[in-house]
Amino acid sequence: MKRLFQLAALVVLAASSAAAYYHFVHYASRVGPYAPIYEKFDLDALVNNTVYFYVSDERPAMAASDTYEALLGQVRQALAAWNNIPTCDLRVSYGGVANVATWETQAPGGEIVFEELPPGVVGMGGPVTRLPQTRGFVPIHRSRLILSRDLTSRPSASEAFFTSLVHEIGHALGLQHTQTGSAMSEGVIRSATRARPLAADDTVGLSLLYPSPGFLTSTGAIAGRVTTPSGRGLHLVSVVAVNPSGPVVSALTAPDGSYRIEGLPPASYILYAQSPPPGTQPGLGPGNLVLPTDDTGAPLNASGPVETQFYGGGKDPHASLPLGVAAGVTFEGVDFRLAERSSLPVYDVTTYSFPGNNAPAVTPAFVNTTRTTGTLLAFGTGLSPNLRNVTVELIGGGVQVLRNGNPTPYGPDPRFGEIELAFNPFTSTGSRHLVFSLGGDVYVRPGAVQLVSRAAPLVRDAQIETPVGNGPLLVLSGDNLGPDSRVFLDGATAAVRSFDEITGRLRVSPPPGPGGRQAVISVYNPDGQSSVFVQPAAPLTYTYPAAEPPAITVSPAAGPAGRDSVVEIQGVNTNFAEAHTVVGFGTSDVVTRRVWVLSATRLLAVVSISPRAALVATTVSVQSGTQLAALAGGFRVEAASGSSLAPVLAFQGLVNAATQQPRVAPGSLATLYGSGLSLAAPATATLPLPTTLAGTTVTLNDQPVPLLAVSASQINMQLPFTLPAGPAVLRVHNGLESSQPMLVQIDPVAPGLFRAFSSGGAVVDANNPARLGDTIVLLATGLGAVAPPVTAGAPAPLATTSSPVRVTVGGVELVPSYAGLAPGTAGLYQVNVPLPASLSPATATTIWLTVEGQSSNALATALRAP
Amino acid sequence: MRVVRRSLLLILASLVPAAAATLERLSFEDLVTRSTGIVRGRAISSSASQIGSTIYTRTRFEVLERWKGAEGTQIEVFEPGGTVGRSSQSYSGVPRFEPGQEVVLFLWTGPSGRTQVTGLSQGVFQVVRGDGPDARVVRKPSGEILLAPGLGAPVRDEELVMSLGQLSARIRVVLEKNKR
Repeated sequence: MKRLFQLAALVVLAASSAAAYYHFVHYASRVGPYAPIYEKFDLDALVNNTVYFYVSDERPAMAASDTYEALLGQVRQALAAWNNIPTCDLRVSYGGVANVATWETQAPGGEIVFEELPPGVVGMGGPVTRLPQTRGFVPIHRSRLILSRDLTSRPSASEAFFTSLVHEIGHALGLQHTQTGSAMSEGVIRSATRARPLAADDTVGLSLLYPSPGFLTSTGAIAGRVTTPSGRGLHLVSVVAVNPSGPVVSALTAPDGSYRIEGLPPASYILYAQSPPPGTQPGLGPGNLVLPTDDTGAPLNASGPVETQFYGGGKDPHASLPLGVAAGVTFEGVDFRLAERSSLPVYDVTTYSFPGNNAPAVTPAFVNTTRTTGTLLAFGTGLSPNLRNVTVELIGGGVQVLRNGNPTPYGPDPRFGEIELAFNPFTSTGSRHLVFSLGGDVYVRPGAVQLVSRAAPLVRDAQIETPVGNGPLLVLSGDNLGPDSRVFLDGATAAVRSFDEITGRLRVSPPPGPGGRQAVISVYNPDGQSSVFVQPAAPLTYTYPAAEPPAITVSPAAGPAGRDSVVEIQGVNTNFAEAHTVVGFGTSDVVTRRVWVLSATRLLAVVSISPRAALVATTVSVQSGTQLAALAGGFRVEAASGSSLAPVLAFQGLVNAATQQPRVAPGSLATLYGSGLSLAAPATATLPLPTTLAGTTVTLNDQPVPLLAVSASQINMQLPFTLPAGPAVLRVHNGLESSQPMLVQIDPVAPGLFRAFSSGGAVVDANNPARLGDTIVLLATGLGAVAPPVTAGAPAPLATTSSPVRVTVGGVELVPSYAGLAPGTAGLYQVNVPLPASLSPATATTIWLTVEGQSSNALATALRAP
Repeated sequence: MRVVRRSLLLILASLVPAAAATLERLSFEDLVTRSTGIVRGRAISSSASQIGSTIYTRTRFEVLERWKGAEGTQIEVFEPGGTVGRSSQSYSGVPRFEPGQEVVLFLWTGPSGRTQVTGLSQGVFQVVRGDGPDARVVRKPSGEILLAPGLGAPVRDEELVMSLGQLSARIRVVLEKNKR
């Protein structure tokens, strides 16, 4: 044990290399070194790091109770699962419907199409077109998901449809199969469900491709080599790090047997190496992995099957050497020597349990620990003929496998092994992993058992309430509903308004939907179970009130390539709703940057049109909940035209002068970036501020804006105090031409800190500490309304903020002695903060302020003793 | 508490996601029954064309033996993926055929008239000719099969390696059974 520990030397590594997760991989050479070159989207080629997926408007044949709109709801939900990974910089979004058959699109993106697929093929997906290698990776240009044109026997509300969709989207983003039970695992070993669609292996896999800042330094890594006893490297062996009741993350070995598991959340892990199952698709490797290729495009074949082994423990997981992974630290030298096998004795084990309500079995097995025992079934290649010789044990404490670990043949179908578990009062819920031992070999099935403390949610009744003055509420009654339950109607989120602990009733707001539609009600619980488990065939539904089909008009109906444009969409019989509405323009060359829903029948949107966009007419679609309104040819991309002397404004070109972020408030100082903003020499103004400077005027909602400074590419201004919160139309006239309108969001407050000063007027920062006991003066902007009211542009009187301001210094919240306008200035606020002598000195700390729940940027500073 | 035993009703979860395809595992009987054509053929040539937004590779086969489907000395099989001009699409796991390759194909012709391999690679059996008189056919196992609700018989998974004669006999058995 000690010798093994010495082999696992701790090394801090700053950069990642030779990580070989389950991505699509290329190598520069067949003979090494094996630094993987990944296929992934180029974030620089995406607007706002977002890859948009469009669904073909050629509707498939749907099941009797299903609709195309409901399917779109499921697609949005599946995409959202991949979008909610905080450690990943890639954003994934639904872009609307598109005429994929005829579209011409230049920007990277994804499409979901419906094709004639033969029996036995549910769908296929993945990168389909790639660009030449650049900056160390192969850019994915287009990804494609193909679903069957005949979905009559595959309702979109089913568990299998959704998890398959999430899986195929993962391929489209650059992920291959894993062997850990995650969403990217093959279906037979997948433990992901609708209610918990992704696991750690999925989020780590995507984060490794598109890491957010700090991802690698906040996680740990394990690296080593897998070889034969003679030292020959083994290729495409799966090395898996298992936390007994927590995350499972894995990697594949490179052709020389080296591997690196990165992105490990700090925790204790045991490690094992296991061959993926034999491949079944032509041209693919084990586990149906796309083989890595060399510089000629030739595949590098996998090694043959090998024994499974735990690190330091041989075949015994309980004798395995745990590794305590810490952030920013890598365990190196974690090696395996594995004997080769002619075949794998056991693989592809699927586990099942019966969720109740006479529903069919579900996979993986969910076992309720509130009873003293629980049962699951297992089926796998090599398992059935050898049930009597197999023993099963669990990784993860608090659970005992009864009958000495021997599964018994399941009565109704003896090919399945029945495994009985015993719990104690301290058994915790969560994932557990099974180890099958047979004839001296072992097979590990991560995430095979999900221990839960309640059964799946079951909706027994759904009633409508219509509170006065509000929209309808859907009241759900049933079993195992809770305040942590999430509710969906046809895949669209129904916001939970309240949960009655006594009656167990959930009240939710139905999202917008098509008139007359009987939307499937699904309830998800955070333990991974959903009502789909227990009501797969006859779920309760909510019937939307009858309504005429919706229709939309678009104005303007065209926009120039290379510009940001404002578009107004008016609807008839529509129900646009904030947080539910997505606007798409049928091509990844026209990207919706922001939508303002003004009413149920009117919205405004800002779109960015790629400079290389094809000059074609596209389909505009507005999806609100599951209500879809589309207009074929509703928007046309035109060549950039107009005078070259006109000002050009960009989305989010107006920023807070202090934070440089696109959050501005009435009365605040703001900076506008663009081009052609002035045709004269740069100019600055004195108080009172003019509304025309160097021939340039700026208006917001047709209201002139006081100007501080003007140049061709920048305007500094003070926003009027009288601006209402919400979208405002910004225009610039440079004395000769007017810009196209641009929408900007005005918030009630948008705090920004410029500087801090001592009471003597000296700058306070990290190099010039503030003295405890002194009063520091903060200069800020965006603190909102003041009293008495003042006019923007005029020298400010003494006027205090209408909302309280709090200042946090060194983590301690303080009450300022004054918060209001800086007298004699325009747009500047002054906040005087007495620093208590009782505060602790600090060589490095921060100051920020908060108003109406909004926080400013933080200033670095230091504090010294009185 | 004794577990209440019941008949094994399982949701149809026999989905096998490949690197690019999610498959529904088909039993041998399914393959025969749901295919519109079953042939033994030798690949002659391949070319790609775009149909709608999908690029397909068409492989022309010389038909050497036919068990099911319309008569003809040649057959054209479409599979997604290929290169047309500057456009290229690739779908991993899709069967590709080399000229001269001999295979037994389970085929499905859809409403469009396009013929594809049933179940993607599940419908392809490689013909291996050795020194002996009988050729062998090989198809790798596709994993376990589960009971689907409503089916009277278990849907089993099998490793399929047999002589060509045995495969032919099994096909005929299912075809006969379907006729009754």
